[in-house]
Amino acid sequence: MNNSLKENINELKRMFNNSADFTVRDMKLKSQSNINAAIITIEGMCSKEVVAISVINPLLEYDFENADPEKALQIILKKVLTSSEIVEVNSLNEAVSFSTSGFAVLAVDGASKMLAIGTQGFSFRSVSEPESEVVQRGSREGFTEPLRINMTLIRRRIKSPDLVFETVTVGSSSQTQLMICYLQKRVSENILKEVRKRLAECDLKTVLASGYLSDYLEDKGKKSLFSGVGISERPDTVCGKLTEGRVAILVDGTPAVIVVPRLFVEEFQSVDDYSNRPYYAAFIRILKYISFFAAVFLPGLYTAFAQFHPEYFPTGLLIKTSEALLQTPLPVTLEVILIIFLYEIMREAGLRIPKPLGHAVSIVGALVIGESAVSSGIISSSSLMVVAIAAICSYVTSALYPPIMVLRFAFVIVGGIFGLWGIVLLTCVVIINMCGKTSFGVPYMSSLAPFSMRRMRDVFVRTNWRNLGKYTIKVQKFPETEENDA
Amino acid sequence: MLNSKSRFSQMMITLFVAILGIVLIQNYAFVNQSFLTSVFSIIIGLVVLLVCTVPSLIVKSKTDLSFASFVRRETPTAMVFLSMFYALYFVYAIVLFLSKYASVFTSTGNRSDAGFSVVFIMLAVCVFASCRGIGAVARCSLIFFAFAVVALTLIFVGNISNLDFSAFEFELNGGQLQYGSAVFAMIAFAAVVFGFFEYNSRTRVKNTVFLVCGIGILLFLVVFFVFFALGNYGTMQKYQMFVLSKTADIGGVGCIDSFHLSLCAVTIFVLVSLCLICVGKVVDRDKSVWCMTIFAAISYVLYLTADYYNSVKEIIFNPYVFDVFTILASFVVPVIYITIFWRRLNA
Repeated sequence: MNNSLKENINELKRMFNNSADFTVRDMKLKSQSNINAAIITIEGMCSKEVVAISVINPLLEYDFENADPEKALQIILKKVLTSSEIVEVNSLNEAVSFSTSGFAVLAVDGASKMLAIGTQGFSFRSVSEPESEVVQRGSREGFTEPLRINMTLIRRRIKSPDLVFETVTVGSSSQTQLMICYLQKRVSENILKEVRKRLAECDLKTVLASGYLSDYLEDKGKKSLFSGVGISERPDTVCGKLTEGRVAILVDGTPAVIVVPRLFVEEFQSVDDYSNRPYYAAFIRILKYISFFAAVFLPGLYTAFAQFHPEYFPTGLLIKTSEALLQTPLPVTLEVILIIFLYEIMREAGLRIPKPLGHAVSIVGALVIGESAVSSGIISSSSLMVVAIAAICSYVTSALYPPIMVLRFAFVIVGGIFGLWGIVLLTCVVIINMCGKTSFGVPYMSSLAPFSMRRMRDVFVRTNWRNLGKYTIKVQKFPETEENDA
Repeated sequence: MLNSKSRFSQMMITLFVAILGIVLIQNYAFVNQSFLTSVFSIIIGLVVLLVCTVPSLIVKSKTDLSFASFVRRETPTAMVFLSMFYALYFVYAIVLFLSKYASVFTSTGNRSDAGFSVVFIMLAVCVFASCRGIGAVARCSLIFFAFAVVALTLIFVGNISNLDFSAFEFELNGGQLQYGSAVFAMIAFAAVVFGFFEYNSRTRVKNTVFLVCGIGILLFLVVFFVFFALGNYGTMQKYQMFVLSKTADIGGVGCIDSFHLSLCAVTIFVLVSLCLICVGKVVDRDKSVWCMTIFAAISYVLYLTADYYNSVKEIIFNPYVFDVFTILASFVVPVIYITIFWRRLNA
């Protein structure tokens, strides 16, 4: 950093490539030596009102008398500015970082430092209910894009000094800010250390979403269809995970917060389970497990039974199914794969299509597949019914949709080639893969395998809070991940 | 990273699932001739199993090491020869169990698939599983154990209505006792695998006794239902557990034999994966893909040889040969080591 204001501003203009949003507000401070100063902002990132009221007005009104530039800067820092957040800036790179984060940077001619003043005022989406995690009885607040707001949402729910936020910057180009969030007395030091290490290994130039970091956070050599890195848009969910010794990673610019470690049984837990009565929560949990198995296995089992084991169908169902299948030109395996494929196309189209056209897609999908394809004999109604049930079941645990979709295809193909035996073997492969997977050293199938009777209180059922609250669950204390206490 | 050894109880469940595989693929045609003889055969088999686990338990309690690790530490040179012996044993076990499984599969599944394709696919899947390590297989076994409990409950409960005690005899047949004991003593295979497990230091003798008792209850139930539910009809069939699943009837539901098919597949999967893992431990190439693949390939070639040459098949399928091999591997060799290094063990 140069002492000359003009050279500093020119250097900053060069660093920003004379960008149109780079704004400089020159001023003369009231003093005997007429000290020159400038306020550097990025248009749209700062609140003009806050800059005017908290920065420009106080600066113009204060009489610096015969202070030299260095002393003037200290006076500004301690006496003049009314902003609650002021940081001394020692280099131009820091000035760039602060200004792109919504700070107003004050440079004084002749001073060796600058001041970054908190004046953020960029537009952002207001706090609203996350669409991907809708609940009936829980909070309606969800994370938004700005990092500071997300931090506030967590801090409001855990008003404990144990809650710690650590700043990390990733992305050599994007300079994306992250916050590693944990409870000091609950977190596993090993997991925390590992999180820091893996984030430091991220060598991406641009990090625009939390999903970019998932690959860096997964355990090496433990590839699986299932992810050991959890994502949530709900502050109450994240706070609940923090109390179990997990680590949350907030990423600036995205409402999806990463929570690690992630276990298989968590995919079937939701905030509503802890608000509803235990018997109802247990019913919903078991329903979710059944839905998951139906979503994955039903099309494959149908294919296997129809082709290799028709004797397993009840007689009435066997007659109807064979009548339906006899009328279609394709083998049952190809038929089921075709229906699943068509459904995936429609689902993807439904996600991307503009809302005004959504109705047209629904009608075409319902008529083409639901009515015309069946009545013309291209596909059978029983196959369509099976795939439709599996598709509905897959949305009960929507977070598991990617592995469900892939496994569904795999089981249909294997069931069509090898029958029930093939499905059993593929199940063995999938289970061994899941059982071999770890998330920051914690077995992914924890609570089920390795089995823990104590943790089963919150797996298939949710015992009442009097029992649940007796023991503090810590993820690092799960079997086969116990730390050695000093 | 956070890690600790698998729990002892988890290992016992894994062994139980593996032994269940051996039980499911046996031909119990001799059972129907005398129930009492069969019960005594079971008792002898269980005693053999219990006795064969004792040396490994002694080594573990004295040194906190598995028998394989103990041998490697004390006599690294001799381990080279012992590793050949144990590798041969486990390859033999893989070929025996897969041959029986292929026979069960093709006989009962009404399938036209050739046995060699079944064995090939099964070996490929087991190589994948064994490369994940004993921890993953042990965790997997917990899930399969839950499935086994459900499946066996359905099979046995479904046959309660078929029970007929009129054929009960008090006769004790010496020749049948000898052969039956040899068949049931095959479960001593668990003692060999037991010697290769690393588990946490809380060794529990009672867990071992529970395992033996659990296997005993399972065998008793199998023999009981084969004798009293199938009766003379069962003697004409080849694989009685499959027949039991076919005759099981719960509310008119007729697909219980699908549970037998699935249970056979998952238990043999665990059994063969354990064998491959033990081979990896013996040659000190734990979780090595190449090691597992090579031994799987050797097993496959040996299977094809046995399938083609009946004389080889007769040797492999002979329960006496397997029992002798098992007792050597699980009892004789460890006892020799314990005797030689007794002072060091007690130091």
